[in-house]
Amino acid sequence: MSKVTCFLHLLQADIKRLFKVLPGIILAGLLILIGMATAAELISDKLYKPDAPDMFGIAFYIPADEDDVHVNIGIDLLGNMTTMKESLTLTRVDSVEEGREMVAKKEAFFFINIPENFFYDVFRDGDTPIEIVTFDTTTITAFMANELFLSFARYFRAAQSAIFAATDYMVAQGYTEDAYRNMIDVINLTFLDKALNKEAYTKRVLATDEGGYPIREHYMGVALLASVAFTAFLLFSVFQKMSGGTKVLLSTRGITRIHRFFANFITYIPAFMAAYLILAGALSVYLKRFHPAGIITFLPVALILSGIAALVTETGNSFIACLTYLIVILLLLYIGGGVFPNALLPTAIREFSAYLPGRYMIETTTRALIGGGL
Amino acid sequence: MLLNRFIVCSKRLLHSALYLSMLALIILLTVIYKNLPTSSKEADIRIALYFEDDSDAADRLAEALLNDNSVYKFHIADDKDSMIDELKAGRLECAYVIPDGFFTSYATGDYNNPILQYYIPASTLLASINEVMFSHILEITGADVLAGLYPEGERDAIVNGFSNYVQGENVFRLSDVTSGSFDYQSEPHRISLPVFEVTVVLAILAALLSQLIYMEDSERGIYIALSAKERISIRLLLAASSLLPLLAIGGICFLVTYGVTKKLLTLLLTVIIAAFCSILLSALMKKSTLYLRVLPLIVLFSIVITFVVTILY
Repeated sequence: MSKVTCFLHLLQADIKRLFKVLPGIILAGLLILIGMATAAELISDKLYKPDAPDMFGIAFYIPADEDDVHVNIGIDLLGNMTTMKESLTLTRVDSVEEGREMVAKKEAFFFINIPENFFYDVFRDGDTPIEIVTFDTTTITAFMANELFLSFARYFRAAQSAIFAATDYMVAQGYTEDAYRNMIDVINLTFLDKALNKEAYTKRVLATDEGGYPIREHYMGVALLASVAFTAFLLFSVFQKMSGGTKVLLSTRGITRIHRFFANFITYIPAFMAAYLILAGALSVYLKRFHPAGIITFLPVALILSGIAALVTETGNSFIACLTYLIVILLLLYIGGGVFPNALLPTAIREFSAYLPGRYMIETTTRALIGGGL
Repeated sequence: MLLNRFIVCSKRLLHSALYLSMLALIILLTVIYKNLPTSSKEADIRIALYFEDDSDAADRLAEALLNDNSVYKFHIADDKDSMIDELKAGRLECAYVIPDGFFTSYATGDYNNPILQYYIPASTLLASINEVMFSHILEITGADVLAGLYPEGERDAIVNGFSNYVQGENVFRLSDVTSGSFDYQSEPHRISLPVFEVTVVLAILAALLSQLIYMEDSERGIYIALSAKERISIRLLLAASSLLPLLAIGGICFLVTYGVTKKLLTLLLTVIIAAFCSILLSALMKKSTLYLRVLPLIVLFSIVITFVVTILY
């Protein structure tokens, strides 16, 4: 029997053994996929933990003698601002003491005490400051509140400057009272629109994409890759099941370790491709996104996985093979941004990841599963 | 007799290269952790700006934001991609891209050329930062906004009047009289290494391995003469001998890394649960070959669960 024939027989035997364990592999793969996809769902929204509080409670006091009509208009306008809707809750209190107590009990981050004649002074060059009471002036939140008030003051200054400038001009030009009032209304509405309607001039973009895909899809790609890769756990013992006598017989026919490596390598490819087909199908049903051409896209990943698995099979001990394979795949996933997104990895590892296949394997698997890429 | 058996089991495990590597890994992680330099973690809220617009208004906005003595620290980014990478790394609260012609669009009320505000799920101050940003933009473009409301020939006088009011201090004076010192600028920070997580995963692996040893011995007929009760005691002894050195070293490393915290109790509980589950699993599996196939899957799931729990809590 020639070396080639013997190699082909070896390959045939390997494929026969593969077919026997294929249902078990698929079952194990589905089990791993459920675990991995659940993990992906759980962590994709929780990777970034906020450092700052997302809502500020603010209490304020306005003395009874202030002009309630203007105060209420002001409060309504503030309530319509996005910042108020997203970050602030306003509570009007009946006394200064009540406001201070809310801060002391930490029911409000700040208490704004608007002194008597404040609004009167604003329009008449007075110098009465607002009092902002915080629980602790050294905390960052106190400074954030200050920042907000300064921003509101800037809007106010811009709008009032416009009114004053227009008034000066229109008085000098002798506008009629009706024309003057109409123009002031237009200016008021225009500047109010600019202050309230910032969202129209801003587009928010979530920046957590990885490899051109949103973070959830990226992690689904990682889950699929890991599930396909780890089905190899069940294959090591199958391909290592070769008695010493068989090995000696094969060596007399010229079949060396290298031939056995290649036979294993070739057999692992259909194993990984079959696992991909079933697992990607299951995940596609869950994601409601189908990309049949992904089977071709995934082929290079299957080749790399087969290479690693065939190398590890040569250890001869299935337990050592499993542990080595687990460590190698986890390292590839970590360095490739599969555990934490690339941007969250230390700089040295990020530089290094460009030279290892992990990142490309993850990107290719995600592309095979989802298609396209942003 | 039990003690003798325990010593034999321990000696056997301590001769295993894999077991020794596991202990060495925990020690190594702790040594690295202790030798990592502490760095100062800035509490400033950093925001990056990338200008595609090179108009005078863009320069004025950059100047206003950069010179703002604010808790929000704005800076100009040279490259859009690295700016977004920095945001994704969690070093920025958000990042702005100001498109070409934005200020003209804003002044004329054209909504089709918006500022892009990039953010991550941890960004919680987007609206507040936008207030700072747009309050400056309105001051800068206010003259153009106002001019747009008047016929061409009348604009100059209006624009000059607006600029005098908004920039001068004779009518509107914006004064920040905040008192109190801001001492939240920095805090000591050390990169955290997963000493606890690694100890938990290795404890599970050690517990599983101890039962694998029992199963292989049992299949060789070593315990054939022993009663069921004695076999259980052997199982327990093997679990204890594999877990105690790991728990001792892991515990010391834990205390060195984290100090006395409630997590130590979690570690202890995990070790006890791992011991009992591995005994139960090996009793159910019966054959070591089957157990060997399941073992890597259990280790894999332990790693995944530990990782997910760490991220979530």
